Amino acid sequence: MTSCISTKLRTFLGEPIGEKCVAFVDGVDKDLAVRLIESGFEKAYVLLGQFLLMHKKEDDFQMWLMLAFGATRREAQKICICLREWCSTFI
Amino acid sequence: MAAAAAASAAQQLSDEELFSQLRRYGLSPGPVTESTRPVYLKKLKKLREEEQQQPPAPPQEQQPPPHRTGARSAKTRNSNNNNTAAAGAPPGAGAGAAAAGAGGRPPPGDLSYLRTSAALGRGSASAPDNPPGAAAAPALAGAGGGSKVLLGFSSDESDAEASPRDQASGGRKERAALQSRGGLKPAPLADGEAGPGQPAERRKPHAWWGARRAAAGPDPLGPPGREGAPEDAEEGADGGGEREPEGEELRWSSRPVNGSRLLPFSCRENYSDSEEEEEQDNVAVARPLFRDDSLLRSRPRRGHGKPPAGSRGEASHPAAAGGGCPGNDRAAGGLDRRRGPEEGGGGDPLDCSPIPRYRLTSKKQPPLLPSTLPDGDLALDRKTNNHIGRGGFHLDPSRVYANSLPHNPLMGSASSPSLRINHSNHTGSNHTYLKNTYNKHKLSEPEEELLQQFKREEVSTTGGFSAHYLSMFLLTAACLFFLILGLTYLGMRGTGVSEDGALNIKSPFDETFEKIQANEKNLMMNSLYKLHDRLAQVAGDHECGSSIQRRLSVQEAAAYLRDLGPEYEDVFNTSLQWILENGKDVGIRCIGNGSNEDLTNITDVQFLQSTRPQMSFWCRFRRAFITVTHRLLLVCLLLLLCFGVVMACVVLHYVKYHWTKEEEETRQMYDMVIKIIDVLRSHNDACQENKDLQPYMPIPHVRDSLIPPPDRKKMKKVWDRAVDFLAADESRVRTETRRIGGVDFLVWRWIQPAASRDKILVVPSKVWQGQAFHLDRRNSPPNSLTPCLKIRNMFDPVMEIGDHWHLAIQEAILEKCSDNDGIVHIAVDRNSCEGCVYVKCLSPEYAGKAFKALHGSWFDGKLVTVKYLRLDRYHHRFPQALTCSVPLKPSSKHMNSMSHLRLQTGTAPTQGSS
Repeated sequence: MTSCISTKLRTFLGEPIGEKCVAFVDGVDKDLAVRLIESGFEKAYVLLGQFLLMHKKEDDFQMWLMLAFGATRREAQKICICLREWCSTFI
Repeated sequence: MAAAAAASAAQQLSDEELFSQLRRYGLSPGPVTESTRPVYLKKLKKLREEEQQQPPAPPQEQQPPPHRTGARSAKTRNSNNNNTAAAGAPPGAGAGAAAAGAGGRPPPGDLSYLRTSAALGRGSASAPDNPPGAAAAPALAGAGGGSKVLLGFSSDESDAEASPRDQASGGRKERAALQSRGGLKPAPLADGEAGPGQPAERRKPHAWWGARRAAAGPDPLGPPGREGAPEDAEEGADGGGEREPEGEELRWSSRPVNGSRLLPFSCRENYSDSEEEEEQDNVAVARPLFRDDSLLRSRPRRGHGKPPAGSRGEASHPAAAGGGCPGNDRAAGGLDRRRGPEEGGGGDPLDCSPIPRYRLTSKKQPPLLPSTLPDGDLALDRKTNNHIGRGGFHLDPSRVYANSLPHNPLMGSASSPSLRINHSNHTGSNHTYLKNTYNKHKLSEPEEELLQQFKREEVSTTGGFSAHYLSMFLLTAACLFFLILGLTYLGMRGTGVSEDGALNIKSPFDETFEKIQANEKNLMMNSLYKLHDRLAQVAGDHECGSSIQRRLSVQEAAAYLRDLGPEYEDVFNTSLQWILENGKDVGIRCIGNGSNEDLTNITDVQFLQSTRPQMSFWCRFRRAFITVTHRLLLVCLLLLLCFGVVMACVVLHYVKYHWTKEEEETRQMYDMVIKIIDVLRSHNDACQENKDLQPYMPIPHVRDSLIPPPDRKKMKKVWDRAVDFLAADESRVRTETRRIGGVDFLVWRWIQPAASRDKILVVPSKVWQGQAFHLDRRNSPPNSLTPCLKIRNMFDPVMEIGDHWHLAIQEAILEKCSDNDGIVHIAVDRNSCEGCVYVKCLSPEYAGKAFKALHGSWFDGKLVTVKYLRLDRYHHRFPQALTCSVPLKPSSKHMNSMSHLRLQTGTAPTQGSS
């Protein structure tokens, strides 16, 4: 875990997830956000829910992200890390 | 005559008519079925042509009447009773004859035929399939007439006298007897003589089988019968052959039915029976037997004429018995029928193969063979005999009965000329050899079945073989032992040396002896001989323990010689010198005071000792015996040592095996415990929901719900151990006794408070749960690349319990791709941490279909992903997939893994999409 976490991540982790849009999740760029929203993952907590449903398995979650939404590996990793950290912080 | 009339209307011949026609010609036709009919027709035509060329022999006339009568009787019998064991009383004459077969009813000789037919009728349980035809009746009558000399089967099965006639008739008799017995035994087999004619023919084999079985005794008859049968076959091959194959077919196809069919055959006529039997027996064992009968029957041919007929009655029985025996072997092997000891008793089922049988028969029936009428009587017998090729035909039909047609004609035509020659010139051996060759070539399926059955017979008779070999082995071992003993004894010979001693002494003559003068030579030699004898005696006494002195001192030797004669004393020193100088062993050894070698001068010699002690025979023997015993003891010790080593190895292996088994069982026990806990827990949860349920579960109910019925017995031990484990080591489960429905049960009660336990979301296991995403260019390759797929994430190896979860995975994949019938190989990699399953399809297109169905689906809460694999790598990993080409299908119709998808309507909603 790198000590210099991105601003986005720090921001995301700094507060409850609330009703944030999924674009706020670290690693989600605009195109991916559009695709996510198209598929119904409007809110960040929906994506979080998917992460939890997949039993917080990072590899599976990343694979799903890549396959379902065409996310790159880097993006998927960042998303996964972000959500994982949030979980460890808040759950 | 009727036959002629029938012959004229060849085209409209009914089966029975055809049969009788053929029999008239002396053939022993097998059952006439659709397949054999053309063959028989052809044969009949041929016979007619021949008949026209030569005047019908008078004997021929004799044949038909007996046949007819026999047939008639058979017919009557058939009509009376088909199946039941021979015990059924044969009607009228037939009854008499049949009775004989049945078990000892003394049949009149005449009735032997009848009896056989009756027996056939009776024996074969199955209804007479062959319509008792008039032809059959006449044929039978003819046979009966021919067999009037036969004494009838009942006379005795054990009549093993193998007179040719007897044998011939014995064959028949045997058949009858068999039939009767066969009736007793598996009725169907035996004599279900349906109709005298064809039915009889057809049944003959069966009857013959039965008869053979029944006939405990007459082995000799068997072979003779067999030989006769070949003859018969030769005589009248065509008809018989056709019918027999048919009968054989029938017989094989449905034993009971066939049996009955066979009976009629056997009843029918000697030769027809034999022929038929032979043909029907794979090995044609029956045939030889029946051939004898046929031979006998065709009296003119055989030359046995009446006497054979009479004796045939007798002989048939024994022959039948004998033939039955071999036939039995065959039949038993083939037909799986009464292999009974009775039959075996008669014929030693030494070899089930037809060849031995033939040989046997041929040997036994030399007299019959010449008499058998290959050609002359063919006209007579051909009619009735199906065997086209007399000998060969018999064999063939038996073999081929299924393909009787192709073979029979072939055999008939081919073999008959040769057979004729054979018969006329050679003994049955030729016949049999010929037949054998033919038979070998024409192995059809049923024949092969029969042969296999015979092989089984052979196998079953290895017991007898091994006993024989064992005795031989013991004998040779004993001989060897005594031989070794004798040799050892000889090795210890004492004074056997005298001759050798002389030789030895003579040998050094050339060297040292020249020094000595001639006149002294003789004297010296004499003295030496005497000395040698004396020394040998002394040594022998010493060896045998009667004296303690082994050697003679020089003075004593000199004194001895002096006693013998004064002249010996003079040459004493010379002899000693010669002995010393002569380096070879002459039987006397000079020993000095000190060392053994330094004897340069006779003065050093102090003692004389014999190197070849002379011992009495008893002493020698005793010593030899002791030596041998010691050696044997050594050998035994060695063997014991080896045995001990072997035992140690065995014990080691057993211990290892036991240990692994123990481990396996323990693992199973723990699996079971886990399953039980899960069940109890879920039941407890259900109880929380539903207050109507009892909070405990009877133990047997838990077991029955966890273990499928086929495994219950197998898993009993595991289950018991699990129960004990729960009782001892599981604190959340309590074992109590409760009364449920009035019956006391041991129950388990889950006592963990529900509040302290998290509610576990019941995730359905092993079901497909929808598609995660649509397949597009991004997440799937544009086209299917290879026929092999690697599917990931189907399972988690750590979470899986049990032995057969991989089968559920395979099922799930097959069910998901149920519309895809191109999957030929599935391999679940149980050890992969990724949960990989490898699939091979018939072609890349099928693989693409499977890809679309599987890729991105949710299975058991996991996202399944698929990728293509290279075909060569796949084959390298799974070589067994190289040959797979059969599409796999889900094994059950329920498609449990698709249950969730079925509930969804329209496009399956994905978990993550709306």
